[in-house]
Amino acid sequence: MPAALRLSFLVALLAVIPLVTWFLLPQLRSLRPTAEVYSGGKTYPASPIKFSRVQVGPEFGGYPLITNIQIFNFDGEGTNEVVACDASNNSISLFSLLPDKTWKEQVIISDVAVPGHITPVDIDQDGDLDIIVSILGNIMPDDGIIGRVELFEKQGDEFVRHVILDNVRRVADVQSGDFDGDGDIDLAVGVFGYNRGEVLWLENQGDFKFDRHELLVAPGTIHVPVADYDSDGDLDIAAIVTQDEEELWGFENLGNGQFRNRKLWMTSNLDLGGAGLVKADLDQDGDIDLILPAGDNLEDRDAYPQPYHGCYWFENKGEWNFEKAKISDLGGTYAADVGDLDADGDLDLVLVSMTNDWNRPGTASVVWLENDGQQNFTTWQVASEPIHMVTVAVGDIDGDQKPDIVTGSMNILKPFQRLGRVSAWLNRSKGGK
Amino acid sequence: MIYVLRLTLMLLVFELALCGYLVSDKLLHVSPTTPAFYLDDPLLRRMFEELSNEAQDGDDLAWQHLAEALLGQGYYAYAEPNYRQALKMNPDNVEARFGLAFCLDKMGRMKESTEEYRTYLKKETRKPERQKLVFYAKYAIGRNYLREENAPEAEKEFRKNPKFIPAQYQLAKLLIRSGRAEQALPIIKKYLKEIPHSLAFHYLDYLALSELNRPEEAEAAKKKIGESVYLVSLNFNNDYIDPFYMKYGQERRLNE
Repeated sequence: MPAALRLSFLVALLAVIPLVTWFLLPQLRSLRPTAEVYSGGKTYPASPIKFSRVQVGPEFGGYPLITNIQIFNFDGEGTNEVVACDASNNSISLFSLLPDKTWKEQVIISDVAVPGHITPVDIDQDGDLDIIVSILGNIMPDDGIIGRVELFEKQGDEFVRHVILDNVRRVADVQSGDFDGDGDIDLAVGVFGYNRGEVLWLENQGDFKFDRHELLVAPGTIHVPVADYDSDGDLDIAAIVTQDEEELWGFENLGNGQFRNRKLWMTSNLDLGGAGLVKADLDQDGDIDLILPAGDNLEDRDAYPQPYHGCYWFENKGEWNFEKAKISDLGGTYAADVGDLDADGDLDLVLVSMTNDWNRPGTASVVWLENDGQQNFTTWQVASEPIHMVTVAVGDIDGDQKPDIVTGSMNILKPFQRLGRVSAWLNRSKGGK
Repeated sequence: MIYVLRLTLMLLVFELALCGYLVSDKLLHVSPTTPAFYLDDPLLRRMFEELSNEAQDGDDLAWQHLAEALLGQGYYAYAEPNYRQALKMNPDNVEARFGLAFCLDKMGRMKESTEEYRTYLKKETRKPERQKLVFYAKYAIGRNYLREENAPEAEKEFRKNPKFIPAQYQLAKLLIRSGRAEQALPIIKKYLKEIPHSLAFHYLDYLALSELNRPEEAEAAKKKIGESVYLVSLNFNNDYIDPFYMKYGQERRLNE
């Protein structure tokens, strides 16, 4: 090749190489693998019990805010119904299964300012179920005196409203029982508030009038389950206090409307996130235990599952001693309910999650904990969507005598995806698992 | 002619070496970590892409900014590797160190988080504009111990943070809960003098006096709870994240 030609070729290369490099450089992507991303989310093996998921109620829009779900026989006939507190519509809805297997929704109570919980009870002892609504007043943190307890007296097909507690902060729960032994039904009230809260009992004076008695001053009381915890024949009250305090309290009924406060347990972990309290004789030894779902970290704009989240069983050892055992590590656990899902004679648990690692698809939103009869639990995943669930109830809703699972979603956090409102998982097991 | 050819050839070799270096550097560069899945906010996706491109060719600050944008939107797990890359490039970047500690803290990795907060405190040059972070780091270490249910260590940490009121609140609360309400009272009274309407300290006052079986004073303190307001923020999470949250995505557009 002549030298001139060689030179031209080299000069051309001299010009082309930097141009090609300049053009290619921005397009190039690193060959190194990207860093591994940590996930604190939890997934579990698929449930050996088959469930089929159904949406309870019609198609929905927006971001549903279901705060409480109950399963009970509302009309006293046939199968159970589902009743839900809908904080986005400020109403209470009844869901009934129609013969064609679709669900009909009927608003039975409206104009309740952010209902947090419902309690069916025949308060006037006239043979029908009245409904007590715990009114938050605001779903977001609020320390204002905006709560209420409203009682809806069943009169024929109508509900008549009675405001039985006003001038109170956000009310999260009301439970019923005859605490003073006078034959009528009194109420225990959990005033969540925000930075201020309290536990009350309301003494029934008849004619839908109640006298207010303070049991405890503490912020963040969520649930106040009522039972005879000390097996002495009268009804006591338990309460879970959250909001940095994280304490379990018992109020021992001493008779004549007198109570003794007992701090049953506390933790220094101010971030535990106690999210409710469920009573059940989980080990079926004849006394009432307590179950604590823990996973509320809504104080953060972007909540994340924590290693201490999950479910704690407080086994009643008698004499107001409760022994704690962690039985699940589901991140963001927000609610629990019990039932014998596998029909083996012991009590299993169902948990739902509000804040698992939703950025990692597949993390569990509904699980059940299989009890081996000795209170050793195996966690099985039922679903990974919808997400953001805060309430769960277990009961037969389709009349096949097998316990189903019904959940409610509260969509107030990111990601606004995989939305749900009222969802059910129908138990399709044949006999046992 | 031969000399011209040789010179051109040398230039070509030099050019090839330089371009080869640039290409290999790019191919072996650490990639920024961003969420690959959907994002609710389309502005965020664009923002993360821009910040990723800047980080790819940038210094530790560029990586830190990407990590902060992710942190502001709650992507703690994605912020973590980007903070780590910033610290690899500059181990003395104290803001990135604090950010990494905070990410670990939010993901419930308390031991790792405490370690990083401690490294932050060691490396911090105590610039006045970062005084708040120093208080936060010490407080977060105490909180991490509380979350691990290690109250004695938490107490030690809160005692080391005497000028940060939330730490003193936690200390007083620990004293009450461990049967030392008598020791808690002077702390509570001191802060009630400074912040007479503090709800948090009036509540502690009530708890301490109840614990000490001083019912009349406890009743008076309880009355004060109703008359006071929430003035002492006990959780700095949102205070720390808010600036990053406001800086990116829809929030920034709204502010503009």
